[in-house]
Amino acid sequence: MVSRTQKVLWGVVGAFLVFGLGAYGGKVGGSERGSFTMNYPAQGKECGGPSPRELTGLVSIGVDGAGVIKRTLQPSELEITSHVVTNVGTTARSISFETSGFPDNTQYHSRDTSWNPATRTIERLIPPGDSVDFGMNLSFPKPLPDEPVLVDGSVVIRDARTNERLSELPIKVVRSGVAGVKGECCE
Amino acid sequence: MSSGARPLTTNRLKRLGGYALGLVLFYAPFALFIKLVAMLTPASPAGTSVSDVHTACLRMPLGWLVQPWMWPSLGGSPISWLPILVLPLGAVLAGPLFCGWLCPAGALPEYLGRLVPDRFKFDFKGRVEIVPLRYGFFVGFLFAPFVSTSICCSFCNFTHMQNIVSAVTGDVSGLLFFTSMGVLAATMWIVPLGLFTKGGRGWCLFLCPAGTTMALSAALTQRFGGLWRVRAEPRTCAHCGGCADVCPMRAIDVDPEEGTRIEPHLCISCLDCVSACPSGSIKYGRKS
Repeated sequence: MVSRTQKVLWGVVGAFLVFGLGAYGGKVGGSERGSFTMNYPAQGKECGGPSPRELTGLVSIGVDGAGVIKRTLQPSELEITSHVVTNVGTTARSISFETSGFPDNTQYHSRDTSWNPATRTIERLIPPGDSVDFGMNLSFPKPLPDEPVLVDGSVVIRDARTNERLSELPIKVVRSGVAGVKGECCE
Repeated sequence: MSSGARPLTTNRLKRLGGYALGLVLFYAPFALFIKLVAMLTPASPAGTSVSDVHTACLRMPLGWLVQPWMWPSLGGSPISWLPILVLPLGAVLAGPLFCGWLCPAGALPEYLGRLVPDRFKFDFKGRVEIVPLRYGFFVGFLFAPFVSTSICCSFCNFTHMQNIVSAVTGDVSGLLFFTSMGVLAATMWIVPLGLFTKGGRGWCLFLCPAGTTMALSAALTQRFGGLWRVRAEPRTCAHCGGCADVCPMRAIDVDPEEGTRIEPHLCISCLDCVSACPSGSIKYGRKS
């Protein structure tokens, strides 16, 4: 018969295993996969950041902090995504994503059904308050270039119909320094 | 009680049909349930044009329960009530049928695990206090964002299931990029906690907060009349142990003196035990 104390101890073990997993994920996650939030129309810090509650106006990913599994299996690939690109305005808009500073072989994607990959446009009208996802897949040379800044780029959101500039979020990928993006995209 | 000793294989095939239905209801490119919710509630997150298992996330809303700053998201998103209200309520009424009959992410390692002989598998029952560990993991899941970092998205088997379904249906993008936590989660889900765990549902036993919530709901209300549960009938039980052997959740203890006991905090109402019982002593139905 297992005592109540033993049961509590098993429970504590379970909780601390999760805390340990979380600590590991928090340590390596931000270096292995970039996540960000982006708002439009917006300026400065309100444009976005690492999470909905961390609108820093900048996203910085330090790839040298990647975990051993990532470094072994896929050291030169990086995905940077957001599923909270949100229309914070009052007008429904079709938006296009303009990028600069990313490697030429970068692939851009969205799961939105009205995504046009050729023009990087969400062609439907996105209602106020609604969010879409947008991401990019980056491939760097192997081994990673011995440069402190691998990417110094930005994502600009424009109104696809008027070409009005609605928002801009700088994104940096660096080889050293502190990761500015935590492992979680949703909380 | 209702009765019925269906052959085990037939029950497992029926469950397989249920899991196929689960795929069609929750996973892209089908996601019919999510599309239906989107039609009914166009202003909610389900009303976005993205419809996959993440739209009806079964993990995040549970975590949000202890994060007051996320409560507005719950209020504005009817589909987030699925794991915190709809599925637990269903479990109260009829047991965790979602786990036993509709969740492909739980079923995949269980069914794959049948390819591995039992002698190569680890049986957690008797070696580990499964129920306290399960709830410990659940508490850890809820409070990890405060103590370390949330494992909600980074350690998710539903994501991997969606990636597999997407790959099978032509979209391999989900398999192109790895993270250490993602690889760790996928490996644990399928290999040690699946293929090499007796019953094949090690992930469900310990690491699924949605399943734990349903099990808790079912367990706390099992004594009430009128609710459907898997129940053992001590008078006719021959204590053969057949039910315990086939239970994927290791939820059944057979003791000739104390009788056959079904652990309500683990049972997923899959009814494999009902089908395997030669004397019809395990039944699924209302309390008599």
